[in-house]
Amino acid sequence: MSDTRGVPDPDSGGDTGTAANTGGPTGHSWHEQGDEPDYRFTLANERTFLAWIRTALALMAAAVAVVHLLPRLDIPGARPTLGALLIAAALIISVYAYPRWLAVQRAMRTGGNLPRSLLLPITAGVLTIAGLIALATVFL
Amino acid sequence: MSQPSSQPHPRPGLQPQRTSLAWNWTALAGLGLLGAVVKVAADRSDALTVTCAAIVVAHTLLVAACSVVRAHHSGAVPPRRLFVVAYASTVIAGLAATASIAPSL
Repeated sequence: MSDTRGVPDPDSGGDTGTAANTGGPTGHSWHEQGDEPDYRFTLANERTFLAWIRTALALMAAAVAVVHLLPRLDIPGARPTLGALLIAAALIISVYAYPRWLAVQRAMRTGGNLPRSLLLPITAGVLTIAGLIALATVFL
Repeated sequence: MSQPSSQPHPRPGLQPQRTSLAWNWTALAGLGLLGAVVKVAADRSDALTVTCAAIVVAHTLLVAACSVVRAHHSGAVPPRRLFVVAYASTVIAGLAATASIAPSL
Protein backbone atom coordinates (compact mmCIF):
# COMPACT_ATOMS: atom_id res chain seq x y z
CA MET A 1 0.00 0.00 0.00
CA SER A 2 2.74 2.38 0.93
CA ASP A 3 4.88 1.50 -2.03
CA THR A 4 3.01 3.09 -4.87
CA ARG A 5 5.91 4.46 -6.84
CA GLY A 6 6.81 3.04 -10.19
CA VAL A 7 9.23 0.25 -9.86
CA PRO A 8 12.14 0.54 -12.22
CA ASP A 9 12.74 -2.10 -14.75
CA PRO A 10 14.50 -5.04 -13.16
CA ASP A 11 17.08 -4.95 -15.92
CA SER A 12 17.90 -1.30 -15.40
CA GLY A 13 19.79 -0.96 -12.21
CA GLY A 14 19.45 1.59 -9.51
CA ASP A 15 17.46 4.78 -9.29
CA THR A 16 14.22 5.54 -11.01
CA GLY A 17 14.61 7.94 -13.86
CA THR A 18 18.33 7.61 -14.16
CA ALA A 19 18.30 4.33 -15.94
CA ALA A 20 19.09 5.86 -19.26
CA ASN A 21 20.39 3.75 -22.00
CA THR A 22 23.86 5.13 -22.18
CA GLY A 23 23.86 4.70 -25.87
CA GLY A 24 25.65 1.43 -25.66
CA PRO A 25 24.95 -1.39 -28.04
CA THR A 26 23.52 -3.58 -25.28
CA GLY A 27 20.20 -1.73 -25.07
CA HIS A 28 18.61 -3.26 -28.12
CA SER A 29 15.52 -4.48 -26.30
CA TRP A 30 12.77 -1.85 -26.14
CA HIS A 31 12.43 -1.96 -22.36
CA GLU A 32 16.11 -1.16 -21.99
CA GLN A 33 15.92 1.95 -24.16
CA GLY A 34 15.45 5.44 -22.83
CA ASP A 35 14.18 6.32 -19.37
CA GLU A 36 11.51 4.76 -17.26
CA PRO A 37 8.48 7.07 -17.75
CA ASP A 38 6.35 8.42 -14.94
CA TYR A 39 4.51 5.44 -13.52
CA ARG A 40 1.16 7.20 -13.99
CA PHE A 41 1.67 7.27 -17.75
CA THR A 42 2.65 3.62 -17.76
CA LEU A 43 -0.48 2.74 -15.82
CA ALA A 44 -2.65 4.90 -18.11
CA ASN A 45 -1.20 3.05 -21.11
CA GLU A 46 -2.01 -0.25 -19.41
CA ARG A 47 -5.61 0.84 -18.83
CA THR A 48 -5.92 1.91 -22.46
CA PHE A 49 -4.73 -1.52 -23.56
CA LEU A 50 -7.33 -3.12 -21.30
CA ALA A 51 -10.03 -0.82 -22.64
CA TRP A 52 -9.29 -2.02 -26.19
CA ILE A 53 -9.40 -5.64 -25.01
CA ARG A 54 -12.77 -5.00 -23.37
CA THR A 55 -14.05 -3.36 -26.54
CA ALA A 56 -12.96 -6.38 -28.56
CA LEU A 57 -14.65 -8.77 -26.10
CA ALA A 58 -17.88 -6.76 -26.20
CA LEU A 59 -17.87 -6.78 -30.01
CA MET A 60 -17.30 -10.56 -30.02
CA ALA A 61 -20.21 -11.09 -27.63
CA ALA A 62 -22.37 -8.82 -29.78
CA ALA A 63 -21.44 -10.73 -32.93
CA VAL A 64 -22.30 -14.10 -31.36
CA ALA A 65 -25.58 -12.69 -30.03
CA VAL A 66 -26.52 -11.14 -33.39
CA VAL A 67 -25.83 -14.30 -35.37
CA HIS A 68 -27.26 -16.88 -32.99
CA LEU A 69 -29.72 -15.19 -30.68
CA LEU A 70 -31.49 -12.63 -32.86
CA PRO A 71 -34.67 -13.70 -34.65
CA ARG A 72 -34.66 -13.63 -38.44
CA LEU A 73 -34.54 -10.05 -39.73
CA ASP A 74 -36.67 -8.63 -42.54
CA ILE A 75 -33.71 -7.52 -44.62
CA PRO A 76 -32.13 -10.60 -46.18
CA GLY A 77 -28.46 -10.98 -45.25
CA ALA A 78 -28.57 -8.29 -42.58
CA ARG A 79 -27.87 -10.65 -39.71
CA PRO A 80 -24.77 -12.35 -41.12
CA THR A 81 -23.47 -9.03 -42.44
CA LEU A 82 -23.84 -7.43 -39.03
CA GLY A 83 -22.25 -10.44 -37.33
CA ALA A 84 -19.34 -10.55 -39.76
CA LEU A 85 -18.75 -6.82 -39.39
CA LEU A 86 -18.70 -6.99 -35.61
CA ILE A 87 -16.46 -10.05 -35.37
CA ALA A 88 -14.04 -8.60 -37.94
CA ALA A 89 -13.76 -5.39 -35.94
CA ALA A 90 -13.26 -7.40 -32.75
CA LEU A 91 -10.43 -9.40 -34.32
CA ILE A 92 -8.72 -6.30 -35.72
CA ILE A 93 -8.91 -4.54 -32.37
CA SER A 94 -7.71 -7.53 -30.35
CA VAL A 95 -4.79 -8.18 -32.71
CA TYR A 96 -3.76 -4.53 -32.77
CA ALA A 97 -4.09 -3.82 -29.01
CA TYR A 98 -0.76 -5.20 -27.88
CA PRO A 99 1.41 -3.69 -30.66
CA ARG A 100 -0.20 -0.36 -29.88
CA TRP A 101 0.57 -0.70 -26.16
CA LEU A 102 4.16 -1.58 -27.06
CA ALA A 103 4.52 1.34 -29.48
CA VAL A 104 3.18 3.83 -26.93
CA GLN A 105 5.40 2.42 -24.20
CA ARG A 106 8.44 2.65 -26.46
CA ALA A 107 7.56 6.23 -27.46
CA MET A 108 7.21 7.24 -23.83
CA ARG A 109 10.56 5.71 -22.93
CA THR A 110 12.43 7.36 -25.77
CA GLY A 111 10.58 10.67 -25.61
CA GLY A 112 9.25 10.31 -29.14
CA ASN A 113 5.84 11.21 -30.49
CA LEU A 114 2.98 8.93 -29.64
CA PRO A 115 2.02 6.76 -32.62
CA ARG A 116 -1.14 7.51 -34.54
CA SER A 117 -3.76 4.87 -34.05
CA LEU A 118 -5.87 3.35 -36.80
CA LEU A 119 -8.05 1.69 -34.20
CA LEU A 120 -10.10 4.79 -33.52
CA PRO A 121 -11.34 5.40 -37.11
CA ILE A 122 -11.80 1.65 -37.64
CA THR A 123 -13.91 1.27 -34.51
CA ALA A 124 -15.92 4.41 -35.19
CA GLY A 125 -16.53 3.40 -38.82
CA VAL A 126 -17.57 -0.15 -38.02
CA LEU A 127 -19.90 0.93 -35.24
CA THR A 128 -21.47 3.57 -37.50
CA ILE A 129 -22.09 1.02 -40.25
CA ALA A 130 -23.44 -1.51 -37.73
CA GLY A 131 -25.72 1.15 -36.30
CA LEU A 132 -27.02 2.06 -39.76
CA ILE A 133 -27.74 -1.60 -40.55
CA ALA A 134 -29.53 -2.01 -37.22
CA LEU A 135 -31.51 1.15 -37.89
CA ALA A 136 -32.46 -0.09 -41.35
CA THR A 137 -33.71 -3.39 -39.91
CA VAL A 138 -35.93 -1.46 -37.53
CA PHE A 139 -37.47 0.91 -40.07
CA LEU A 140 -37.53 -1.13 -43.28
CA MET B 1 4.08 34.96 -0.89
CA SER B 2 2.35 32.28 -2.78
CA GLN B 3 4.66 29.38 -2.32
CA PRO B 4 5.65 27.81 -5.61
CA SER B 5 5.96 24.57 -3.77
CA SER B 6 5.97 21.41 -5.77
CA GLN B 7 2.44 20.25 -6.25
CA PRO B 8 1.60 17.06 -4.46
CA HIS B 9 0.98 14.00 -6.53
CA PRO B 10 -2.75 13.43 -7.06
CA ARG B 11 -3.21 10.66 -4.53
CA PRO B 12 -0.65 8.17 -5.75
CA GLY B 13 -2.51 5.25 -4.26
CA LEU B 14 -5.43 5.66 -6.61
CA GLN B 15 -3.86 4.97 -10.01
CA PRO B 16 -2.71 1.42 -9.29
CA GLN B 17 -6.12 0.62 -7.85
CA ARG B 18 -7.87 1.96 -10.93
CA THR B 19 -5.59 -0.15 -13.09
CA SER B 20 -6.30 -3.18 -11.00
CA LEU B 21 -10.02 -2.52 -11.38
CA ALA B 22 -9.58 -2.24 -15.14
CA TRP B 23 -8.28 -5.82 -15.14
CA ASN B 24 -11.36 -6.90 -13.20
CA TRP B 25 -13.66 -5.17 -15.70
CA THR B 26 -11.83 -6.92 -18.50
CA ALA B 27 -12.47 -10.27 -16.84
CA LEU B 28 -16.12 -9.28 -16.49
CA ALA B 29 -16.31 -8.36 -20.19
CA GLY B 30 -15.04 -11.87 -20.88
CA LEU B 31 -18.01 -13.17 -18.93
CA GLY B 32 -20.34 -11.46 -21.41
CA LEU B 33 -18.77 -13.32 -24.30
CA LEU B 34 -18.79 -16.48 -22.22
CA GLY B 35 -22.53 -16.18 -21.62
CA ALA B 36 -23.28 -15.76 -25.32
CA VAL B 37 -21.05 -18.64 -26.45
CA VAL B 38 -22.23 -21.02 -23.73
CA LYS B 39 -25.87 -20.28 -24.63
CA VAL B 40 -25.11 -21.15 -28.25
CA ALA B 41 -23.26 -24.30 -27.20
CA ALA B 42 -26.17 -25.37 -25.00
CA ASP B 43 -28.64 -24.79 -27.85
CA ARG B 44 -26.69 -26.49 -30.60
CA SER B 45 -24.41 -28.84 -28.64
CA ASP B 46 -22.28 -29.72 -31.65
CA ALA B 47 -18.58 -30.38 -31.24
CA LEU B 48 -17.47 -27.08 -32.77
CA THR B 49 -19.50 -24.77 -30.57
CA VAL B 50 -18.73 -26.80 -27.44
CA THR B 51 -15.00 -26.55 -28.22
CA CYS B 52 -15.34 -22.82 -28.81
CA ALA B 53 -17.19 -22.43 -25.52
CA ALA B 54 -14.43 -24.34 -23.74
CA ILE B 55 -11.83 -22.01 -25.26
CA VAL B 56 -13.78 -18.95 -24.13
CA VAL B 57 -14.11 -20.45 -20.63
CA ALA B 58 -10.32 -20.90 -20.56
CA HIS B 59 -9.90 -17.29 -21.71
CA THR B 60 -12.17 -16.01 -18.95
CA LEU B 61 -10.29 -18.00 -16.32
CA LEU B 62 -6.93 -16.78 -17.66
CA VAL B 63 -7.93 -13.11 -17.58
CA ALA B 64 -9.40 -13.56 -14.11
CA ALA B 65 -6.08 -15.09 -13.02
CA CYS B 66 -4.26 -12.17 -14.66
CA SER B 67 -6.36 -9.73 -12.65
CA VAL B 68 -5.45 -11.58 -9.45
CA VAL B 69 -1.74 -11.45 -10.35
CA ARG B 70 -2.08 -7.77 -11.25
CA ALA B 71 -3.71 -7.02 -7.92
CA HIS B 72 -0.74 -8.74 -6.30
CA HIS B 73 1.61 -6.37 -8.17
CA SER B 74 -0.40 -3.34 -7.12
CA GLY B 75 1.75 -0.23 -7.20
CA ALA B 76 4.33 -1.64 -9.53
CA VAL B 77 4.71 -2.07 -13.24
CA PRO B 78 3.44 -5.60 -13.86
CA PRO B 79 5.45 -8.22 -15.69
CA ARG B 80 5.08 -7.98 -19.46
CA ARG B 81 3.98 -11.62 -19.55
CA LEU B 82 0.64 -10.50 -18.13
CA PHE B 83 -0.06 -8.38 -21.20
CA VAL B 84 1.03 -11.16 -23.53
CA VAL B 85 -1.25 -13.69 -21.81
CA ALA B 86 -4.26 -11.35 -21.86
CA TYR B 87 -3.55 -10.41 -25.48
CA ALA B 88 -3.01 -13.95 -26.76
CA SER B 89 -6.01 -15.35 -24.94
CA THR B 90 -8.24 -12.57 -26.30
CA VAL B 91 -7.08 -13.19 -29.86
CA ILE B 92 -7.68 -16.96 -29.43
CA ALA B 93 -11.10 -16.32 -27.88
CA GLY B 94 -11.88 -14.09 -30.85
CA LEU B 95 -10.93 -16.84 -33.27
CA ALA B 96 -13.08 -19.29 -31.29
CA ALA B 97 -16.02 -16.88 -31.41
CA THR B 98 -15.47 -16.50 -35.15
CA ALA B 99 -15.43 -20.27 -35.58
CA SER B 100 -18.63 -20.62 -33.59
CA ILE B 101 -20.54 -18.20 -35.81
CA ALA B 102 -18.82 -19.04 -39.10
CA PRO B 103 -21.28 -21.80 -40.13
CA SER B 104 -24.16 -19.34 -39.78
CA LEU B 105 -22.56 -16.55 -41.78
